[in-house]
Amino acid sequence: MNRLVVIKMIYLNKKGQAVAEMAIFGTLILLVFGVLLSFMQQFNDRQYVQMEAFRRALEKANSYTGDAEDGAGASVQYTLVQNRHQINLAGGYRQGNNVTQTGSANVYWAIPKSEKGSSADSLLVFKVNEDEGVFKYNDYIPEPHRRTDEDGNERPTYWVLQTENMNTESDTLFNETNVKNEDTYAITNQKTSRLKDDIVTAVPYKIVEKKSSDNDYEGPTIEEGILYEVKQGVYFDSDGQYKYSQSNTGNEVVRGKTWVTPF
Amino acid sequence: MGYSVLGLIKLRRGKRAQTTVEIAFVFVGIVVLFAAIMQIWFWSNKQIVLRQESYNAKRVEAGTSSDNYILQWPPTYTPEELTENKVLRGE
Repeated sequence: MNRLVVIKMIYLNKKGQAVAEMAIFGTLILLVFGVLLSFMQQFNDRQYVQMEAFRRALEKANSYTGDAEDGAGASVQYTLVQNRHQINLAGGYRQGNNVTQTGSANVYWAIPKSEKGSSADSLLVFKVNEDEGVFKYNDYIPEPHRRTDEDGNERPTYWVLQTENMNTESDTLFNETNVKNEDTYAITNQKTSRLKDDIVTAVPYKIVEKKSSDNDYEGPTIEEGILYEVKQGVYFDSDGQYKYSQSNTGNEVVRGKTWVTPF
Repeated sequence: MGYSVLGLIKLRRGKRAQTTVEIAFVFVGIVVLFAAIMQIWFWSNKQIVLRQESYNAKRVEAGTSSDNYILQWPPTYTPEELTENKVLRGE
């Protein structure tokens, strides 16, 4: 090829340079937008979970009556766990990303009970998505090992129930199919996504011995196990949100659309 | 047939100007797009504050004991509408 022609091609073939630049910068800007959207979603979800945990703790502490007939009230340690589907920039269009948000609150509400001279029960409540587990602290710590005796005096050694970090295992299946049919009248496109997501959430616990004279002392483990375990499956609710519940274990969310381009 | 050196320089100058004009347009587009994204981000942050204020306003009701206690959830707050004017003009 003539040298002059090559020079001409290099210097004159600038068509579409700005468009190519726009394509590159546009992609970067869309990526920034995607990242910001995922942050917005996370901040919103976190705020909601923290707010909800406190309001539900208030409600539980206010309305819990227990076995005694001396009014409502309890010391509630409420933990709220919610699995949300958030934007997955690297995944399929409707695949999403399962993100766990956790909020907790402590409320001690004992006015009716203290007026009658009785003590409020201590409760551990775990609400995982739509399923709730309520555990009475004293069911796990027998009377001779509680921190205070019947007269209210602190014992030199006592047992405490400690919950450990929550374990979450998820089993996710996602696939997307695109079917295109062409005939003499139209082109028919069908896009379908299938999502199956089962999550097992478990809250382990252990009972250890403590000494009233030494706050840092932790004695041998008396007992350990799983306090609460729940298996939940994903579903698509009427508000257009992915949610999880025990009754939807093994459920498959199928979404899709069909569009026809006639000739 | 061939190009003189002067002719080639003239051609280069002409095309260079075209690219500059194109970049100027694209740059404006990029800036507008970026500003719009930032407006959406500001709107989202503002909603967090307003939602918290609305939540705090109900704290007395939520913390008052009664025989027919009603759970103060979900929040009654309705987010501000995100309009085209807000995104593109910052109004």
